[in-house]
Amino acid sequence: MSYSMNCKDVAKALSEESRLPLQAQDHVRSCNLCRELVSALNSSIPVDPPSPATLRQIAKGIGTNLRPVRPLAPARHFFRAFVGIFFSIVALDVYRRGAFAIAVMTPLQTAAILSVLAVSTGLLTYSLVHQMVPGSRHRISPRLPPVGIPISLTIVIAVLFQFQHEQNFWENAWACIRAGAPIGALAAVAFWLMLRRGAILSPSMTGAATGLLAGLVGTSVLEIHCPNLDAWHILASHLGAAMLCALAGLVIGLAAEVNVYAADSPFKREPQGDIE
Amino acid sequence: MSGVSKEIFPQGVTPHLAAANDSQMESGLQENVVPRQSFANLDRWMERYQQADPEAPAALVGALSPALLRFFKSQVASREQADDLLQEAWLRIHRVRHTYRPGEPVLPWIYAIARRVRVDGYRRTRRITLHEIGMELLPEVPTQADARNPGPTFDTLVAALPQAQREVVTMLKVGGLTLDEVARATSSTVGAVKQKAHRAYERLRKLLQIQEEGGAR
Repeated sequence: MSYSMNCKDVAKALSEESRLPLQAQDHVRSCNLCRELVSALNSSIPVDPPSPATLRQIAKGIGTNLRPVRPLAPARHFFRAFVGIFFSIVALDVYRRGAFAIAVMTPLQTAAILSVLAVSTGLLTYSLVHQMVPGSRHRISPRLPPVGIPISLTIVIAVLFQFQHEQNFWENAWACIRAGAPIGALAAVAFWLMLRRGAILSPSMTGAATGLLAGLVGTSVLEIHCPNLDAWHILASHLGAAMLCALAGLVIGLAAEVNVYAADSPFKREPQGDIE
Repeated sequence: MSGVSKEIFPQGVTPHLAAANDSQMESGLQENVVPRQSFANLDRWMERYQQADPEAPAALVGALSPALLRFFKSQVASREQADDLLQEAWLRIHRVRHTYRPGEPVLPWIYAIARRVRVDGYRRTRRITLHEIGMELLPEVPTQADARNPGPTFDTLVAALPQAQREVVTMLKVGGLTLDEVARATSSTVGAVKQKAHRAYERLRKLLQIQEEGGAR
């Protein structure tokens, strides 16, 4: 049985395969518009290649004082390092403050919230590790975790914990934010030390993701330490600490991005690639 | 054109259309594409570049610059801007050459950096000029179009696309990257690249239709 394609099918075939299937070719032969599209996409416009003098100038420019550099370590090493930093800071801080929340949460609440935090950490770490190297394969778009994780955590907290009207809400929330944000800042410094040799493509996106990951260190500590199970409190202060860190990371990343494109001609700057 | 194609597209039936020939259709539009053979051994040259082999910069610049220039030319208006971006891209590549992991494909790494350079260049230009050129309608067919091919050319056609779609189509059809490589270069997923390409071709077909209807009146 033969299947005849229409224009939409051809557009789909063009976007999926480097070679047009036979049915698509048949349609292109009989359809003026598709034929014109194929022909136009295939037309060649003479673009003068760069002049040999330009190429020589570029090659000479980057070849002067060329020094060997050490490539970035494999992704799995960075992944382990990020996760190690995350859990080390959480463990040390929980050891120092005490795990009072575990005693008051139900096993379901404990398992669910810690699992979601662990999965979020894994996703963010995976995303960050792949952002370090341009041209890495992303199975999840790097734009997704910084947006999706706070939304997921909000939903999980709203489902797991009850909304109450506690007295001294803002005082308690402020106390937790004051405890969680510095932990996040400490983790952010450690993560930045890991990231500083890579992650050159989108400082704002990397900044937001790093800030959120660092903030989740604070959130994890607070979730294990703070016995206040009011959903409003957890959202405003525990998750709030992570959001503050993410915002700070985004702002720093945006500033770095502006610094790059607002600079004068890059050829006026000193090359800094020779690290080792 | 082959004999079969001559029968299908006899002279005079579609005189205003550029006929896509059989090989073009089979290859899914390959004429623009920079041959992949010219990128052979790029990974080895990249490794030698990282090890400070003095021959490596010239080899890489020679092999990759034409494709990069074509990429920039299809993204910006003028040749001068494209030349500037090419130089800036190489400087950026030089600075971050340590971020290339030996064994990984080179083209997505190069295009990811080139893409970033283009974005930074666009922002810098926008800061200076503070005006934009509307590209919603298909531009006029340029006079330098091939005499055999009076229809819209690749550059005039993709100029009508939104930036993200134009970028994907240019990488696929001019850079010769695979879907996976484009996904890597754009920090995206293969599914998202397919979707952008599909929307781009749909949009182009509609624009051609509008143009043809306008021409018929």
